[in-house]
Amino acid sequence: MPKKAFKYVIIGDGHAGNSAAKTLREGNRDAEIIIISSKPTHYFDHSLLANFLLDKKDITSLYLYPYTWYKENNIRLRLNQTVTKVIPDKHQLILAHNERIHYDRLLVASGAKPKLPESLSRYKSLLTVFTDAVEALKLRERLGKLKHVTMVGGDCIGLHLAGAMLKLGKSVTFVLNEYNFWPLEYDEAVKDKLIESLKKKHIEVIADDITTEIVKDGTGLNVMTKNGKIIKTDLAFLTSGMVPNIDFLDGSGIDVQTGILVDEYMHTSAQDIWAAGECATVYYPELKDYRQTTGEINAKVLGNISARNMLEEKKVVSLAEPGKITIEGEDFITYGWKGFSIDI
Amino acid sequence: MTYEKSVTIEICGSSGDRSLAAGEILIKTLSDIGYHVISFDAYPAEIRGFGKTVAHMRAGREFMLSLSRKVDILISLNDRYSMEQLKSLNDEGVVIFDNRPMETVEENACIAGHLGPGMYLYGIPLYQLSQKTTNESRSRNIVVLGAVSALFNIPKNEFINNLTVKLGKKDKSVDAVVAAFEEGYRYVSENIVKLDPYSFERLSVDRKGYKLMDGNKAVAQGAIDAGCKLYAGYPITPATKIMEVLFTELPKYGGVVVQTEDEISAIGHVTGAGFAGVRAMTATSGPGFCLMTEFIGYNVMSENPVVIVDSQRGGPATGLPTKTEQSDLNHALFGGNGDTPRIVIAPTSVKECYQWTAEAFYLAEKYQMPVIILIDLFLSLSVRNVLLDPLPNYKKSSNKVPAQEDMKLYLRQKITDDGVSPRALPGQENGYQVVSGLEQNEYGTPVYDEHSHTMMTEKRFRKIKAALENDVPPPLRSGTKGKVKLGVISWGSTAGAAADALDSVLKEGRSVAMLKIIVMNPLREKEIQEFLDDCEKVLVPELNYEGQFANWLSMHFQKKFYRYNKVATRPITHDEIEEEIERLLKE
Repeated sequence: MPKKAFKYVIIGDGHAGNSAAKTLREGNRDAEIIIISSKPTHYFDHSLLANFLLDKKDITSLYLYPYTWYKENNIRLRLNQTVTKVIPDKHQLILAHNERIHYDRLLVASGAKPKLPESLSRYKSLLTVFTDAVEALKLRERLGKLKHVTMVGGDCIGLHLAGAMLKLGKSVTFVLNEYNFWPLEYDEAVKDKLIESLKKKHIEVIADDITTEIVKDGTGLNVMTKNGKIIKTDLAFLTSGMVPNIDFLDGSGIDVQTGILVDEYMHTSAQDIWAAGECATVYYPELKDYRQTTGEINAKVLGNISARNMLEEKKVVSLAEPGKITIEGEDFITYGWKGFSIDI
Repeated sequence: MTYEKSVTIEICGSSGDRSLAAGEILIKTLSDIGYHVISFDAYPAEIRGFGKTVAHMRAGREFMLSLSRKVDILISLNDRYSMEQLKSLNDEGVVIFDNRPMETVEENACIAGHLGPGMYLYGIPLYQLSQKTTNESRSRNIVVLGAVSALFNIPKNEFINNLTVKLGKKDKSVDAVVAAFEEGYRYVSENIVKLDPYSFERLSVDRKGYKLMDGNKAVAQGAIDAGCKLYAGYPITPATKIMEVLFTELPKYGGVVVQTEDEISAIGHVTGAGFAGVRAMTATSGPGFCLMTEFIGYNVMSENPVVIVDSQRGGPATGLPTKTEQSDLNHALFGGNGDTPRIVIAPTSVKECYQWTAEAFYLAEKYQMPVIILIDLFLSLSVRNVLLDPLPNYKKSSNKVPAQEDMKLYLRQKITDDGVSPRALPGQENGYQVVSGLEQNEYGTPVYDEHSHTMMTEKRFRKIKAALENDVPPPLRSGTKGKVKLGVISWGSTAGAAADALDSVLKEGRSVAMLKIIVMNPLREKEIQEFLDDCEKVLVPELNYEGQFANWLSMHFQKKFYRYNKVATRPITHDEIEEEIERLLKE
């Protein structure tokens, strides 16, 4: 185990990153540990995000650790700072403000970002995303002016958000397409059960259709579908699932498919770089194959395993036990969202 | 939280970043929307070259007299210098920095890498936005003001108005500078989500009659309003601005400003004007005050009125030209050879700088002696919004004019009960007199015998006694009445911090009181003794190493004085005194 004043840098302030930081500190009291995050807010529980819209609580009420925890553990947080480049050969990162950061060992735990279907890419500026605390804050400020919202796609975040919107008295339309219900194991039976549940809640569901165009209409939007539907709405949420947030690795030479490819030790193809959480595509020996990981539980576990390997423990990853989530009384199998339930 | 009471902001950069100009506009704007403000700039002594420059300001809803040690919002125009300021930033403070600098920054050379985990970081591409709007990088200070306006809800119209006033409406660069401001505002509005708790608003308070001014300007205004007609001085930090203001203003009132070749000449001019019956003043700082010392004695001996302002800075010698200190008290009280009674006044606020400068002219003329006004760099340069009370009629001459019958045999140094001799001004019939630094008899003739010297020395000291009895108001007591666990005796600019500290500890229910001394010599011993009798312990905070005021008090009173001395190069803050009060109360 390295005992010298090693410098561990973690990209990402989510479950994987914080879990890794905690493990690294426990394993090496002398190490320099830095967490870099493009988000301005602290580590928080994403499952609380939709409910955050319903009350007047301060954003800090979402935070899982008080900032004093970082002080006490001598973990340096660099929030609101974006990594733009990783240079493995030099053991360096470049930040958006042009600062070079050296690392001895690097963990990429940059999570995921909303998936923007290619067909909608030109409407990006008209779509609202809802994945972090800042976006929740922005949305909370606008809530009073909203009467109707549209979910473009139907992932779990969208389901969560729809629940909050209904409680706030807003009407909701879902346009379901091939990006439905991420990250559930998708099949027709799942889809039918969910659509039935949504309709029971007086949510308009436009199924087996796809959003093709979004145009401004006064202060609102018109969302148009392939089958000719025009939905007049105040806000269109991009809820078509998530993809690994790894653009900054372009040109780094690190092997990437959907996410960052890591072996059973969570190590990437680059020396002294590990990856964990939703940005990683992990090799599971049980499957003899790679699998994209999702969910907070997975992120915590994988962050911990990565950190232990960064501390040279040689810990092998194992497939998470399948879990169950409940949506409107219906159970669904999942790998990473254990205990998660949506009751809209 | 801290911000409920006040918010402390720092704009930090290098000399060329125009941090102070930005600070000046910001504090003016905060004042315009109804906040009480107090500011203090720190800058390097060197006129050329680069060094750290900090515009430090505190704004609050309630009246306040001092700065806070802890900063809430740090605006970095130069990370190299600003990083050091992080030590003063609150655990939940805000940092604004340029996130698109020109060049690659080596690790840890950027302030972003040094924030505590509870701090808020806002990156704004100041350089880029400045280039975009003004084709140069020098407007980063204006871009950041736009950002500050949007981030902290400070009405932008007031900002733009103050920018326009500062630049002059006809300046062609106004449009570009306003564009730079708007760009900073726009960037924040479109790109940044505010997470920190700091926010301002337009306060519905009546600030009619309030003026934004620093101590130097208040001294100059006090001199003008007291009928000063001659100012002579030699430039020196931090007193130069007194002369700058008077250069513009004094001629409007029929006065003259003379920039002399040195400080000896300056006090010489003032001495001559005083002899001629013209109210006159000079202002300097420690090194210049040293040069003037011989003339203090001369004016004591010749019983001539002069007003000398000493704005103290770090010493000895050239010392720390741009850093504040309260270490010239010994010099002001004792400087000079022989027994040299003089009146020493130490205003504690900008408002008092105004009042007591005017009073100094009245006293100097009435008691025919030097009156020294002891301020310091902090008081000289800190800007506050103040409501100046109308002055009593200080313009009216306080000169004791000889009666016509006295002029048959004019005794310039006539022995009187209060020691003040009637003073004939040049041109008065039969008012011949010898003026010199020699000891003299009643006729003004030089004498060296024991009787005359004793008689004249006693006469000169009787004037001090008369001033004490007739014109020195009792020191102001505040806080808990009657017996207290702890008393604070404070003077000069530190008294502001002590007063703010007292407010805080009183709210905590502590048994504390404060005595503010403005006239340092002569001392109102009776009232001070009564205060001391009421106090179990007495704290004397001051910005010098020896505890010069505590020593001065020890010469007059039998009491143990708990000293709180710093040579911190910055003012003592209210929170430092609060901590010391709490420590002594627990001891």
